[in-house]
Amino acid sequence: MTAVYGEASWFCCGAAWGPCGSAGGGACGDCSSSRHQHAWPTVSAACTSITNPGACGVSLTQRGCGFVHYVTNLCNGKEVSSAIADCGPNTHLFCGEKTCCGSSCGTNRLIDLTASAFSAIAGLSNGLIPVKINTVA
Amino acid sequence: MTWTAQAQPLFLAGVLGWSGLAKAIDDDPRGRVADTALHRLLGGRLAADVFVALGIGEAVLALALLAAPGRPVALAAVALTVGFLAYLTYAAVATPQASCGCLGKKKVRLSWRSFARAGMLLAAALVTAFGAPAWWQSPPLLPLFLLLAGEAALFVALSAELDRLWLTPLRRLRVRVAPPLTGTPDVVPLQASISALVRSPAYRAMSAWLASDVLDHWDADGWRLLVYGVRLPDRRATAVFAVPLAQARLDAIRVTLVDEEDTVLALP
Amino acid sequence: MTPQVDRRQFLTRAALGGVTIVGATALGSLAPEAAFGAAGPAVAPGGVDPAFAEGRITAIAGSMLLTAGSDGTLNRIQTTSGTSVWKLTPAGLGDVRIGDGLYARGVRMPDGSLAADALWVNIVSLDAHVVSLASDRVHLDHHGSRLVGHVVPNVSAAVYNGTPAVTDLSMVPVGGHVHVVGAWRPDTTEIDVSTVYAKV
Repeated sequence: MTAVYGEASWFCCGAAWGPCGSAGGGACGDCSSSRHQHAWPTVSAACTSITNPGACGVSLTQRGCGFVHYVTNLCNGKEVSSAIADCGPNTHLFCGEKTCCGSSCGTNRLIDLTASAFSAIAGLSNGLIPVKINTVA
Repeated sequence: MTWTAQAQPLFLAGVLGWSGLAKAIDDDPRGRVADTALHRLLGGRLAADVFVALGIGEAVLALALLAAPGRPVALAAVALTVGFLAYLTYAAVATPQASCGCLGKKKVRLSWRSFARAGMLLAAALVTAFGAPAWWQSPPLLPLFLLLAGEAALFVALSAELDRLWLTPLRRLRVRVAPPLTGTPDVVPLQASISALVRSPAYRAMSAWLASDVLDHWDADGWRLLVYGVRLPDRRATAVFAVPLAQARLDAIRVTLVDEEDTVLALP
Repeated sequence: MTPQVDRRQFLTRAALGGVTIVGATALGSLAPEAAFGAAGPAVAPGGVDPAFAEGRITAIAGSMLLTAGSDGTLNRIQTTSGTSVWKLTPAGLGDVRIGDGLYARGVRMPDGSLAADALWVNIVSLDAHVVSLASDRVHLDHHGSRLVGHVVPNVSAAVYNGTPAVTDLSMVPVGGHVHVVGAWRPDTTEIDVSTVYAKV
């Protein structure tokens, strides 16, 4: 896969306090806010039918639970490696949404990181950041 | 007013026919039942089969209510609506987070509206069973039509799945006519300053060394000062970013490093 | 004048000019690679991050927070004057309460405690469907559950299509989908809105 550029958000998964208290272990069963994990829109065919990135003109390779992506924050160059643990985000609900740092932009919601993975590359008070997503470091 | 009773089998037939057809011809019944109490009750494959069979049953009952609305058909409708209420009660107790899966593709949680809607159907079925002459026996047409329209409107109002058809447009209109939450135009929210900061060259130069999120912030002389903790190779320090309050170029944002002895450090 | 005001005045002068730079002590390289090299071993993908902690605060002992993680993990989190605290806005340790939820990032110490650089208290980040707007709140639907988002004057902001944040939330799309960062009100289905990200 060549690197894709998009938006990253963060979410809570696993047993957790707050409005995500019922999130469970995610689609892969072992998702936890303390682990470097993420939700991916095409973790399975069933997931892809829900997230439908194709509606935004985005083609993402289907990758299973545990697959590793390398996510780089385009605002500061920080990178985190993370494993797929859940299905998401709902890409088709936010088609065309763009976040930029200077001339570096990420379009469409492509990845949802756990709090620990996201905070390794950005402060949690940032809701959306532009990122590069790659399969190699 | 027997004509009001005559309206009930028509109302029931309309609701059951529409709902039944939608279930019977759904192209993804397994997907439809995935987050529902039915799935929890029966498991994936059986829930999907029951879902489709129920749809066929509702459609057949709707036809029977129109074509042969005698007491046996009406009692079948009573049994079906009692079954709906029992299912909703089970769902509310066992899977309060789940969707009903009763009507349409949209997943909505159970609420008092779900029970009121099922109660409305039960009342219509009971009237059909114990008080309604055949609907074709010369009812007054205009009052009948108005009553049916009213019952349909009430049914839609009690259906959270259909809120997008009327309630959401109404809410949008209200916002357009009298916009709430217009805020304070002269106030620059902190988030605006932070968003500008994280995109600036000054932040990018320091970001690898920043250890904390915003420690402190205040406004002075047209600037917003944002303070972050810094971990340098040999000491802790503080980075003070100055962000113009008025919109400005990102390279106007400045950074100053101050160490723990309040020595202002030169940036290389 | 309080010490905080004194320090702010000093830092303002330092940042905006008017303070002589004293001691151009050799800082060494500020190249990012040097920072990443000093950060310690990388966390394996999918692995637990030792520099991170999550849980609800069960006790506060001076500058130490005791938390119970959602997976049963107990953590001791040590704070200092250099620890940032987010609780809807930048706050202080005095604003933290028992029962608050938190995420913390810092340095894991040999005794197992976490020396916190940053705390985010009750912070939530979620996608939601906008049900309606009221005079002081936004009604949201998050995975089928209703959530009330309280709008805090001069704090709550909206980002429309990636443009600079504004306090005008009237264009948040009723019936549309948004991303919300906010502060949960513990043991309720209510949050205080920090930022709503909307595409309009």
